[in-house]
Amino acid sequence: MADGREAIKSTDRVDGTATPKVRFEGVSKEFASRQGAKTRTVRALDDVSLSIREGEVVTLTGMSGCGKTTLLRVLMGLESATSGTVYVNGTPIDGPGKDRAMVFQHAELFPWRSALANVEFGLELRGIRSAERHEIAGRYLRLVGLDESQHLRPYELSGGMRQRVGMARALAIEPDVLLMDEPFGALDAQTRETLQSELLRIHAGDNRTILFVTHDLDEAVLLADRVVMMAPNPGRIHAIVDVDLPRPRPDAVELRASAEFGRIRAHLWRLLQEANSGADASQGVGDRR
Amino acid sequence: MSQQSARGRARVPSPGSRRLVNALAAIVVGIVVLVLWQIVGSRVSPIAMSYPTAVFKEALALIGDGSLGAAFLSSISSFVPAYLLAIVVGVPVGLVVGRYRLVEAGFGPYITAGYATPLVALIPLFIVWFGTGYTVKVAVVFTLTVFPILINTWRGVQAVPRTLIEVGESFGASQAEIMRKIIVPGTMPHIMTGLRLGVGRAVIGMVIAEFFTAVTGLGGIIINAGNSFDTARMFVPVIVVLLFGIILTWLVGLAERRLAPWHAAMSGGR
Repeated sequence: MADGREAIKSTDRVDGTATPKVRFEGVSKEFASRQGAKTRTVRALDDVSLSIREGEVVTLTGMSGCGKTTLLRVLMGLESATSGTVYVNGTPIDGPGKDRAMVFQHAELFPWRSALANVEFGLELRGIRSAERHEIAGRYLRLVGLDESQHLRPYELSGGMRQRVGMARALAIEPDVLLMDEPFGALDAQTRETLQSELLRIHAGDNRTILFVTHDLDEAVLLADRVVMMAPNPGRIHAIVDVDLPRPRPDAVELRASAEFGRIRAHLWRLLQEANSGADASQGVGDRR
Repeated sequence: MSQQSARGRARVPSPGSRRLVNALAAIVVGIVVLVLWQIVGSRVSPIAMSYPTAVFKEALALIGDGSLGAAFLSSISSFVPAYLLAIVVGVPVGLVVGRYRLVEAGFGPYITAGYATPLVALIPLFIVWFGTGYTVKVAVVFTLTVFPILINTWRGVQAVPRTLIEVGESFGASQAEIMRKIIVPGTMPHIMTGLRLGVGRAVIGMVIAEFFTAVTGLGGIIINAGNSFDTARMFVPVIVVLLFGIILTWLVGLAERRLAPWHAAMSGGR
């Protein structure tokens, strides 16, 4: 276990003395999976430790089955960790909390609500009165560039517009940490790039802490301050890569064309292959020592 | 040029003109049936069959002496409260059975059995319990109606995507808020389907109750006219019941488009 963990710890150091915004401490998650009559335990997360500082954007990437979405759901409180603790602002979490909000993979808007009413959902649960709710929701719809469509229902919106509403819904409650679960994965390439730029612009404005799951290495590099590469069987952190590209990043096209971007992307690609061959080996000899 | 545009129009009819054509088709079929009914019906014994003009004459007579109106009011006086009671009981019970696994495990099989039972066979027992007056009619209509409403609500709760409930959880919604803000609106299209199916069952229940308990209302006119071999007269309340059912179903459809417009739009505008 020694060398692998050492490398991770060295890049996982948190600046200064401030408490990290999010801290995963030895988080493991096991699922019972039924195969015919037998019940087998699947280890989706194995002893994951990671700290995220305030204002940082961390992307989680890796092949499917590496536990990246599970890690996000544990942070959201939708799943509880089998062992280990997750801290937000230094306090251990117990289920979902209003300091976190999630943007879902397929937006998951309420089909019976207009765009505006969808954004108001989290505000309603906080007991904010309707006039103020409209005002806040309208502001966040404008932020994501959708104020003209506020009365349309989800079925009248395109996939990209739906995901913008999903982002506005999460941002409207002003969470300390924004969790994003492959939010742009189902969109066409052009819409995806537009929304990536929008997210960079919004982050440049509010400097919110973001944990973003993606299987797209391009996206992982473009958005992140650090990219966490995960490995499957069992799901664990394989490596953490610093992305020293300057912020703000107003021109994603330019950034993608830069040498540094290409270098990091290539490095991630090699890590991805390494992470998965490691997984194969672990079934035999086992690289989890 | 003009020929081309004419062909283009024929190939892609506007929704409005298509609706007109559909309505015309229904009217033409209706007229043909009425004419055939008139021709055939007026040639056989008036006991075995009646025909439109005779039925129409009887209808005028029944409306004229006020007996049709009185019968209709008598019928809906048991129909309306029973149908409303079926909604008030069926929807909440369906929501709870659909939402809580243990409640479903306990009650589900009996609800399914209740829906499959020919409840009409229980009418003699109902008479023992409720007599032959007003109460038993309400009980019969209610019992027939509550099951489709309950079962559709129950299934509807289970059709609400798990992920939408997770959205609620992630925003910190309580169980009550998840029920009120996610399960109920998400189930609304299924509830409306239950109400629509309930109309059909309630109309059947109403007429059957009037046949087998104290003979009153529209069902009463049907039975009395049938027993005195007055076939033309018998057809009048049958047609009223038919129209009543159609209008109620249409009203429920109207309510559905108001309460669940997203569903109509997503399932092709029906």
